[in-house]
Amino acid sequence: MSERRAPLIGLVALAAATAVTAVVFLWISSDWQFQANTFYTENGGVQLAEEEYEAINRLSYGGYQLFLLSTPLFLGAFAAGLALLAVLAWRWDRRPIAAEPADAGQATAAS
Amino acid sequence: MAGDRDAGVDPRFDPVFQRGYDPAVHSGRQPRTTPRHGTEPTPVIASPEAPEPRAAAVPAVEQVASAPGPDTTSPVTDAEFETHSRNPFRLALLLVSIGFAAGAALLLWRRLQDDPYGNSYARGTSGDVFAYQFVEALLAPLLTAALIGMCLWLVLWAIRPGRRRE
Repeated sequence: MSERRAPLIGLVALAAATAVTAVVFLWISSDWQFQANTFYTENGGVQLAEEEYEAINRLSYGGYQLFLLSTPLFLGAFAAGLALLAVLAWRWDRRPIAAEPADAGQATAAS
Repeated sequence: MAGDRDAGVDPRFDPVFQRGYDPAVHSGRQPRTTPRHGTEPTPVIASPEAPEPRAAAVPAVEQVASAPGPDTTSPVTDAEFETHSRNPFRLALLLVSIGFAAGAALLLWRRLQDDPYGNSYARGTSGDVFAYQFVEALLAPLLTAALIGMCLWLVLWAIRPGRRRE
């Protein structure tokens, strides 16, 4: 792995890792919230033990927290992708310039 | 030291920029002190009759790698700058940013079309809940990333170097 290519690979890995993590968090969050919603729907108006309510509220709240975490993870993935493009653009502007055919022709005409 | 002062120039500085500079007398002199980083004076060409081309003195790769920006001190005319070629990555950055903004607008429109009472979220299947949350979680990052991308594009556009023909 060359030294110039390593940070680019790091950016790609960061973008992929954060995006996958965000989707996994969202999936777990939606599953927990779905379970909580189902519980609330099925047991509406039913008097349940306090422990049961506490457990299902924790499930719903935990899902909500995972949902909140997925937002900055998505942003990190997008930012890493944009940073990758910016670095490539920066290097493109500053790459060593080889003599292009048009330049060579002008140089020949000038000489 | 005394001889230099007698010659009318301060040896610590480049004689070209001092009062009393005479090319016949001072053409071979260079400043003695080490210049601060980024303030190196332009090398004085010893004989005006046979100036050495800059490209021949320093390899092109070293010029590009070491130069912090366009060298405004060298006697380069406008004719030596070529039209800047398009940077495909900068263009891609702009297009991706616009795509992010469009995606955010699309998701916002989709959210506005949803059931305003949230029935798709509260009474839907697990997949419905995932889709609902996916839109919710993606909207703000997409818009933020679009703005960051456009800022990056403008910055890259502003600091692009002028390319010099070899």
